[in-house]
Amino acid sequence: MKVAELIAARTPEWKQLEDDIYWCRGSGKKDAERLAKFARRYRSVCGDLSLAIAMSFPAGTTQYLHQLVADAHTQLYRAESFRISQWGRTIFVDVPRRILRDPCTWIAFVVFWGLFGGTMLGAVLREDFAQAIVGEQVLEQVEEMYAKPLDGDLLDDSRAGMTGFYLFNNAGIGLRCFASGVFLGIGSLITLAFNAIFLGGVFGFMIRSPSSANFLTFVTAHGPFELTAVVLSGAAGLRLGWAVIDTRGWSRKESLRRTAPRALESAGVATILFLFAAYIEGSISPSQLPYAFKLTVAITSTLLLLGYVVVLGVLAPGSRRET
Amino acid sequence: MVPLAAASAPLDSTVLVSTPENVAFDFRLAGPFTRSLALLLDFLLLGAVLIGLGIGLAFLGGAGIGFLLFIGFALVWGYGGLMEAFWNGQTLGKKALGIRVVSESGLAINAGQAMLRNVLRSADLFPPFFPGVLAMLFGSRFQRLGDLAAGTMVVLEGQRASPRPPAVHNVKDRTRERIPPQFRPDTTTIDALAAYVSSRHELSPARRNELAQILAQHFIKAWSLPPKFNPDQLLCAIYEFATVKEENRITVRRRRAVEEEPPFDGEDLQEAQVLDHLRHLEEATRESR
Repeated sequence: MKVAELIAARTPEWKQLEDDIYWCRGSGKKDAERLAKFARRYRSVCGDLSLAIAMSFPAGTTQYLHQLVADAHTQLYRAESFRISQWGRTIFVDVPRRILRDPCTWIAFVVFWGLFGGTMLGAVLREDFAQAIVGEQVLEQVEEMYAKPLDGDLLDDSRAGMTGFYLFNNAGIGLRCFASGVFLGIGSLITLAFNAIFLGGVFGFMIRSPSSANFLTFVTAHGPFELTAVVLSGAAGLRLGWAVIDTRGWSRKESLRRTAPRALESAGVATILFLFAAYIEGSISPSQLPYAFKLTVAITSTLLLLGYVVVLGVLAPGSRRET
Repeated sequence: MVPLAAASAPLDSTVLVSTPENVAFDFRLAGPFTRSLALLLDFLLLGAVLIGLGIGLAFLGGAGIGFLLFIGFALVWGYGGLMEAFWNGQTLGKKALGIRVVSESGLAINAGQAMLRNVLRSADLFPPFFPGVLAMLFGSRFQRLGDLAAGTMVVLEGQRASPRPPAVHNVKDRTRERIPPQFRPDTTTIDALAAYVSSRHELSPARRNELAQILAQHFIKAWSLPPKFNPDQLLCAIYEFATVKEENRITVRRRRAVEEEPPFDGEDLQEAQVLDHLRHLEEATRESR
């Protein structure tokens, strides 16, 4: 058979496969019989492609077949897609177990809280410490913000707005902190350190300031969720960077590829914590509820976090070592 | 050995993927320029949606702004990932530019890969170095860091070429008769002929003859044809002749390998001459487009 005749004879089949690909891409239930036909058709077109290459079909036709086979292949061999039922397991089993056993968590924890505590201590002990580190302008602004006691009525209207802002800003910082971990973890470390020093300086300064009561009333409730979320984002970023450094025998790229989905899951949990924190920061923190209530919120969230990381982490079934 | 990839495929912008059906096909990779255009389109689109929403929601006061920022957060960090997860690896910008994200193995990407490569975009666009662009330039598959971590690549969909080869019109019998029956062109020659036949309809008759002459003159000399022989007709005839015999070619080769005879390479036709013809043809096609 001549090449031209062969091509003419096979063209209807190719067109049919094109239709099948469009049909497959569409949503909705797939008819099993047609799927089977699609698979069969795909295999026969694979044969056509080999033939086209072996027999030097015109370049246009070979190109067309390459494209057709590529598209069909992408549709036929699908990877697992979105499964919401999987999420529960990921969030309550996989992630806590990993967080607890991952040294990156503890490095991030120590870096953040060490720098935070150190800077705060310095700022409390020496008057000009915070000025030198954070800058006078920023401190003046912060002091002015908390100069008056919280005014519930004034804030009522903008509560939802502030919740949105805190989510957009803080969770965004968290995700960027995670992403910048890909540079050998350095980006995450810098973000962690910067935030720890900045916040530590502001905390120390405000504790000395006459309006410290207003400040503490505001920050108590959402503190645990927000600061833990920062630490977890940093830890997820460090995990990403460490995968590039210690490859456990894989190539650097392969090691990164294997670790990244798990790190992303941790970053996802951190984002959920940021969401909680943003809600509390937008609605409970600025309210005129008694300080005891806010303190209760803070203690409850700390216990919840401890329960999540320690209890779920230890109890999690399947204690096999994961990387 | 039968070559699996077309010899003309440039090495640097295609990726060969082998299927379980034991066939290898190639993906054409999307370059940084196309991809940044798609990204720009997506950004513009997102910006327009957010501004539109902002104008609408501003009337609702604080709650409206909160809702806007909430949606904004979800869109800025989730738009690309969700679109690619649910829309076969395409965002609207990618769809417009005709590119698609697939796994390195050629499979459709899953939701985790889609989210990962989109969250890591912030690292890729980290100013002032734009590490993603550097990674694309130094890597082998135009992968930015997000692609490397997710194991994905961006490929061209492009417009589908037509499967049909342009018909070889009215090859006269007396032209056909001038080809020596024992003539067996090699692969490079057939590729050159196939390339010529599939693009000759884009050229004017004069240009067609001029280009065909480059290759045809060797046959004319080798087979002692009249010097004014129509070169276009001759190449079409040879292509037809070669592909008629093509189906036997593999068996013929095998038999030859057994007999250990040197292959018969189209008289004194040198490979360099054929390649020269291919190059001219490519230039002419580019010009005519």
